Amino acid sequence: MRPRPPSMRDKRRYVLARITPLWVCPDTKSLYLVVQEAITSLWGDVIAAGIQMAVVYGDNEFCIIRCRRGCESQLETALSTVSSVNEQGISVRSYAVSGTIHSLKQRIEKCRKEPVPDARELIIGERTFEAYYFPGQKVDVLEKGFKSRELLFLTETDIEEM
Amino acid sequence: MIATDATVFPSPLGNTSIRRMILETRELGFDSIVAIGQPGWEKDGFSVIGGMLIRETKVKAVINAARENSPGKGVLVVNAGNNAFNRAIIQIKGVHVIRHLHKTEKNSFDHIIARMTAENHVAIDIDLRPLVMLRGFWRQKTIQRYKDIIGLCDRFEFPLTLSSNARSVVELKSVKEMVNLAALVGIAEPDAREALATIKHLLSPGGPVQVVG
Repeated sequence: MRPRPPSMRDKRRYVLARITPLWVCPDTKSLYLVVQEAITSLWGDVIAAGIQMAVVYGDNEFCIIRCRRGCESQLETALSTVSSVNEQGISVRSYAVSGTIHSLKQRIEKCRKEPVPDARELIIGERTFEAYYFPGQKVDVLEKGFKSRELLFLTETDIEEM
Repeated sequence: MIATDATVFPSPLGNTSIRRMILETRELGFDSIVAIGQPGWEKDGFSVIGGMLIRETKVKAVINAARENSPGKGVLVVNAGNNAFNRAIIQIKGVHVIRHLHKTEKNSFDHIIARMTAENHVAIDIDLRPLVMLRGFWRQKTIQRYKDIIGLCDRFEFPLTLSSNARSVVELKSVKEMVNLAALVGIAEPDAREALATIKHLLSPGGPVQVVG
């Protein structure tokens, strides 16, 4: 099939979104499924079909989501209602909107934080935790184990005071 | 720009320390938060406003809490109840915010209480957490209740506040997200931004003009 000439194609917009916490690392398929569910449950099938959402890029911190031009605000609102992926609490916050993937990838390079650091072992009381230290004094602390792992969001000062 | 998240729950009520909450909310565009169960303090232009949440359904408990919470100490937030309870707590001096109206009966907040709310300068909190967490029927009911409250707000002009009710970093919302979510229940962008600044106005209300000297 021959591609349509540019003037006849649908105009698209690309939304750059930031995923927190960084160590969750959802794959693009699970991300697509939760965003699609959020759009459908919020706006209904008709508007969801009109938005034509697709996840075109994803890494541990950022994802780029495509939509039809004019539907960016609906997509951004729906992104605010994403609360978990694979039973792990996350937030997907829209960060920028652009007409090209290229410009958003340049933006990612500018504002990307350091790669996710390796987890360090931390013992609080009798329990063992994995601690991820991020720039800006942030520390995400995840209990080691299989069932009901406690998750804490702290700062380096909090850990020093423990 | 003044922007305050009207209710957050740092640890021990949530899983995020108050310091981490401050780091995150500052990045999200806020300059203050109302932290339930925390004392108020200010650092580098960011203020943590202490908040006291009353979940009691008896008016006497609210009166006692309002007495304990001396002026300037913090924000007194009360969970809404039935019509008589709401009518009573609105008249208690020291109550700043009433929240969770969406969980009460439909007649619990009528036009008379709305007028009293405006007269006593008590704010009604729009909790954005159910819009994020709920799906289907329950979210529809919540939106319906919020739209009803916004309709009364347009008529009687009582103050509104917006809150994320976050217990964790991942539940926090940015200023832009709050404005977008508020639009779902019929709050226009300028009104949403005004609602984000309401807490500061509640704590330092403009008094009558005084003649000095």
